[in-house]
Amino acid sequence: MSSVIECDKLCFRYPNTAKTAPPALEQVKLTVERGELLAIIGHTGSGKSTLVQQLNALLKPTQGTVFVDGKNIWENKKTVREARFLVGLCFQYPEYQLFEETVEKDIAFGPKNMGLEADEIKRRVCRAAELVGLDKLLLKKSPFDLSGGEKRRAAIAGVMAMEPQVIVFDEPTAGLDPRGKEHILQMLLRCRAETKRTILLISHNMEDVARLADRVLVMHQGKAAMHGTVEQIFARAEELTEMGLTVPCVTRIFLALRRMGLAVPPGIFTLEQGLRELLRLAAESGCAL
Amino acid sequence: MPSPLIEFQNVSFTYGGEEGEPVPAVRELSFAVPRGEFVAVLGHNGSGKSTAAKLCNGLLLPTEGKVLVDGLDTADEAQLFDIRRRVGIVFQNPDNQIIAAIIEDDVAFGPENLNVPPAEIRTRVDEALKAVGMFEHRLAEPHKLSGGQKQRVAIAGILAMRNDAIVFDEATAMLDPRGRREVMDAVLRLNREQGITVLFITHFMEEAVLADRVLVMDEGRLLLDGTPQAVFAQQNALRAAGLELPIPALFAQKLRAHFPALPEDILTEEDCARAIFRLFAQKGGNAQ
Repeated sequence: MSSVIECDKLCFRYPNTAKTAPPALEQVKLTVERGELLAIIGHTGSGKSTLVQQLNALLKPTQGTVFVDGKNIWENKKTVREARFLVGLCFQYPEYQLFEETVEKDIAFGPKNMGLEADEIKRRVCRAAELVGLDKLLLKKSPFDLSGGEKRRAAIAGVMAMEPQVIVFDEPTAGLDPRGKEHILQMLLRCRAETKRTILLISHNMEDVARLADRVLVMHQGKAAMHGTVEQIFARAEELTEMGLTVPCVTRIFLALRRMGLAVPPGIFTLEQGLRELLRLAAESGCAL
Repeated sequence: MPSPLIEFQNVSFTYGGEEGEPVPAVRELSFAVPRGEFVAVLGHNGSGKSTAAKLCNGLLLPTEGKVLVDGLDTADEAQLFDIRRRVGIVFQNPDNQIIAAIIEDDVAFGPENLNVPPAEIRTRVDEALKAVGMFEHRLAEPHKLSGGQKQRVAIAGILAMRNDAIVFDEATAMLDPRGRREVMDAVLRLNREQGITVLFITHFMEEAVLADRVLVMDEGRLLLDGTPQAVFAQQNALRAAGLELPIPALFAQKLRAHFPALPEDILTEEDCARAIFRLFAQKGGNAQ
């Protein structure tokens, strides 16, 4: 079986919420293939964060099942513990969770809790620091002496050092400047290329989604509203807009062109596609450039 | 000629580092913001933007040079009260700025401290909340609001003091796209309809293109200063400062290699779509 995560009929209601209030998750069905990069989009309150917290047993479903690596994570205590190590969660603004004396100790915190040998912990800390692009010299420093972007990468290294099969990044570029954002995105790409891990990326930035993701899951009012390839999802730009979501800038430009009456297809989401499409149109209308 | 509302005269600011190591954050910065202008400030982290923001109303005082607000020197402690009545700041984190348990109490906090009579406070709070589209939430509890709503409440808190200018220090950085749009719409409206002077620090290029003028900071200095068209035409300087072009501009640039007739000054999606449409409409006309 090649899927690493399978959720079926997943329902979740936060305790102490009014019976009349809609559940946080409703009948969510989700399959994540091994090694893919799945983007999860949806506006604030759509259930994105609640969903990913189901995947490593931080929240227990009210109904339905979660299978990670072929096992029902709620089967027994052992499977629950395993799920926490199989799926690593990197929350929003993870740098707020740095707490140790040194960057090295902070990154080592997770592997230590897994009960690994000292040598193995050391290897993992080095590997994680390398993957996120943190200079070795920074490892001995206090995490609080790092710059904003470095802190973020140190915190991400802490999750990577646990070497989970699936890593969930919740808005990893939020609040960073363009350079800091690019660093994080490059890091995601490198992590993916070198470790072949499965990555779930929660993002509001549709340009990043268009650039990085294989497939996209759209959450809306606690439900999995759409699930498909990037092309399939952004071809439904009008529906996404109705849900209050944005689409990539180029997609919006092409939507405007369609409204003006230009014969361009939907589902254009990168600059390259846009250029290709306009060249095709120019050739078709039979005029020299 | 009226004096500018905010004026930096050769301002430098150096933080005293923990180990006595001085850290220069702003160097020889000079610019003037006339009343009613909407100025966006760009620059990567550590370029001195936030320090400049705090220098605007005397939260920080220049190590060298002068900051004048409506002609008042921020270094003159006797004037600080009047200076802060003119210039307010909205910070990045929506959760750190609201102190009262009910929205309207929070907005009333400023005018209360200015000893404004109660009836007048009521009027000001209502007006301020209406101006940012938060009037119907006036009795809500802050923790029930979204990030964009909280930032708009923070703006209302400044409006209720009848300030002339608002400095936004990455006030949209922690918001989702919807929240960013809400805040940006409110800021544009305040600038256009009420003539509020705006200094808008941001990492989002698509927000900067909406300003009258863009300042780019790098290493504590002013690198570029001009209209969005003029500033975004300086692609190499921007790239060196760790910034990028707005996506419509980037797309137009890519297209221009094949469609040389496309104009140079495309910054927004609307510009871009209209220019492409014109290109094809004309071509279609020629082909017939």
